[in-house]
Amino acid sequence: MHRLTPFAMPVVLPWTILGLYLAVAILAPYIAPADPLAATGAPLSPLFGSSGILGTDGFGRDVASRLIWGLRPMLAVSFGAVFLATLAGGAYGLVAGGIGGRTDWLMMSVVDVMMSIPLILAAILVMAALGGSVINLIISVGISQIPVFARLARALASVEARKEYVLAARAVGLSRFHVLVREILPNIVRPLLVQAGSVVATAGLTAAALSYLGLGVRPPAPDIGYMVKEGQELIFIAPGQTLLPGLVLGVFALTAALCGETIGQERRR
Amino acid sequence: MTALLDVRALSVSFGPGGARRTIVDRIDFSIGRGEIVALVGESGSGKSATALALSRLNEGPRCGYSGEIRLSGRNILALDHPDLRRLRGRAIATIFQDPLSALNPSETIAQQIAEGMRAHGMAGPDADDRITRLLGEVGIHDPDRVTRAYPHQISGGQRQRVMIALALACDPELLIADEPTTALDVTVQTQVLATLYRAVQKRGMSVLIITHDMGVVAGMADRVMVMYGGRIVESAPVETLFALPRHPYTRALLDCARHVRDASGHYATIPGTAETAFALRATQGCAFAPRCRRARPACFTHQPELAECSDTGRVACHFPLVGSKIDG
Repeated sequence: MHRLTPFAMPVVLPWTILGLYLAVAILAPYIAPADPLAATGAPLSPLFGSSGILGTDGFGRDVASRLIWGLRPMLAVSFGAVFLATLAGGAYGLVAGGIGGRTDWLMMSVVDVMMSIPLILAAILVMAALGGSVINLIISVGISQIPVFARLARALASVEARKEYVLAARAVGLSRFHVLVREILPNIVRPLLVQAGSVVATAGLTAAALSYLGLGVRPPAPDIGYMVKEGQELIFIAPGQTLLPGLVLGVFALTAALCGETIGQERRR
Repeated sequence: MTALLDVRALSVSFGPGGARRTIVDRIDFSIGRGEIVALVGESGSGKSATALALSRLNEGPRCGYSGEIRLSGRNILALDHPDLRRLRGRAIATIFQDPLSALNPSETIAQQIAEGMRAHGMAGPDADDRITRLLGEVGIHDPDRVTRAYPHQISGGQRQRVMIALALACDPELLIADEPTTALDVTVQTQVLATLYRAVQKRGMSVLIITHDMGVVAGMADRVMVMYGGRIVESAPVETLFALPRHPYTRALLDCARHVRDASGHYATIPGTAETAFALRATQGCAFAPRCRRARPACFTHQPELAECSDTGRVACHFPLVGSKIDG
C-alpha cells in the first residue's frame, strides 16, 4: 500500500545522497585515507596534490579524512536530536491533547514558556552547562526541538480525541491509556514523522552552529561545524578550508529537507 | 418481572460551573429484560445526552449527573472507574449514529472487534472464528474480506453492520442504539434495522433505540418514550401510542410523520423550535406550552408530572388528549 514512486528523480536522488552520507559515516575507518588527527603533510597542501585528494588543513591534517570522520557527529546529532524530540515531544503532546481540559492547558503553558526562549539560546545554555560532547549536543538540540513536536502532537491529538471513534472505544470499555496509545496515536503518527523528517535538516544546522561557536564536539576531534570556523580564518589564502565543509553541510541540510518532503508526498499519493 | 434498567430522577447538566444548563431534567424510566424501547424526540430534546449518560460517556468537568441509574440493581452512577470500564461494552454496548467516524480509520475491522473482546477477557483462541461468524450474522456476505479491511474500504451499510457486530461481540445485556440508521440511505436503513432486530431477538437482549424516525419506532419497538425539553412527556406501548396519543406533542409528531394536511392543504408542522423549551424552563410551566395549541394559563405556571393515564401508559400533561383517534 505504501510504496515510493518508482525511480522518479526527485524522490530517489535525495534518499540516495542521504544513504551515501550514512554509508560514508558508518564506514569512515575503512574509507578515510588517513588518520584525521595526525599531520600527514605540509600545512595547506593544495587540492589533488600529493598529500591527499582534498589537501591538508592548517595543521597538515588530511581534509578528506577529517570531512569523512566529521560526518559522524553531524549525522548522530541530527538524527539523535530529532529522535529524542519526536519521542518526548510527541508523547507529551499526545497526553495533553488526548486528556484535554485543565491538564492540557497547564501542560501546554509549560511548552509556551519553552518556546519563548530562542531555540539557539536554549541550546547554547544547555551546552554551556553540560559541556561539549555528541551526547550533550543531542540532548541540547533535542530539547530545543521538543516544543515543536509537543505542539503538533497536541493539536493533532485533540482533534482526534473529539472524534466519535474515541467515544466508541471508551464505550467498549477500553482504558484511557489504551485509547491514547492504541486509538489516537496511530492516527497522528504520520504527520509527526513528516515533521521529524523536515526537522532533521534544522537539527543538523543547529548542531553545526553550536560547533561553530565552540560549544560542540571538542577539538581536535573532526567536526563539520568547527571545520567551517577554522577554515574561515584562512578564507583568502585557502578558500577550500571553509567552503568544503560548508558544502558537505549544505548538501546534507538540503537532502535531509527533500527527504522529509517525500515522506509527506507519499501520504498524499 | 424486575426491570433490567431502572432510571430514577436522572438529570444531566452541561456547561461550566456558573452557567450550567440542565439538558435532561429528572427523568424516570425502566427497561425490562428483552424489551425494545424507543426514545423519540426532536433535536435538542436530550435523547442523546440520556443515552450517553447510561454508561457515563458524557461525564466530565463540563457535564454532571444526578439521580440513579440501576442496571440489575447496581447503581451505575456510583461505580468507580475500573468497574465502569468493565461495564462498558460488556453490560451496556452502544451503537453510534455515524459508523464512519465511530470506527478507527487506522485499524482493521477485525482488530477493532477483537480489542473490545480482549478488554473483557473474551477474546480466547477462537476469537477470529467468532468475529467472522458474527459478521456473517449481521449480514456481511464476505466476512473474510471485511475482517481484513479498513473502515474506508467498505460501504456505509457494511460499516453500520460492523458497528452492530462490534456492539454484540461481548454479548451485552443492554444495547443502546443512538440513531443507528440516520447516516444510511433509505433502502439500506430497512435492511440494517431488520438485521439488528433479528440479532437482538435471538439473544433476548434489551434495547434502547434513539430515533426521530417514527417508521423505525413502528417497525421495531415494544414501547415508546417521547422526550421533549429534557423531560419524558409520554410513555406507552407502541400500538397504544400510535392509535391514541395522549400528549399534544406526541400527537403533533405523529401528524408530521403521517403528512397530515390541515384544512388549507398545508402539511402539519409544529410551530416554533425546541429552543423555546429551554427558554421557558426558567419559569415553572410545561416545556411544550409555548408551542401547544391547547395550552391554558395553568400550563405556563405549573410543570406537569409524568403520571399514569391508563394501565400501560404515562403522560405528563395537565390536559391530555382523550380518545382522539387519529384518522388516516
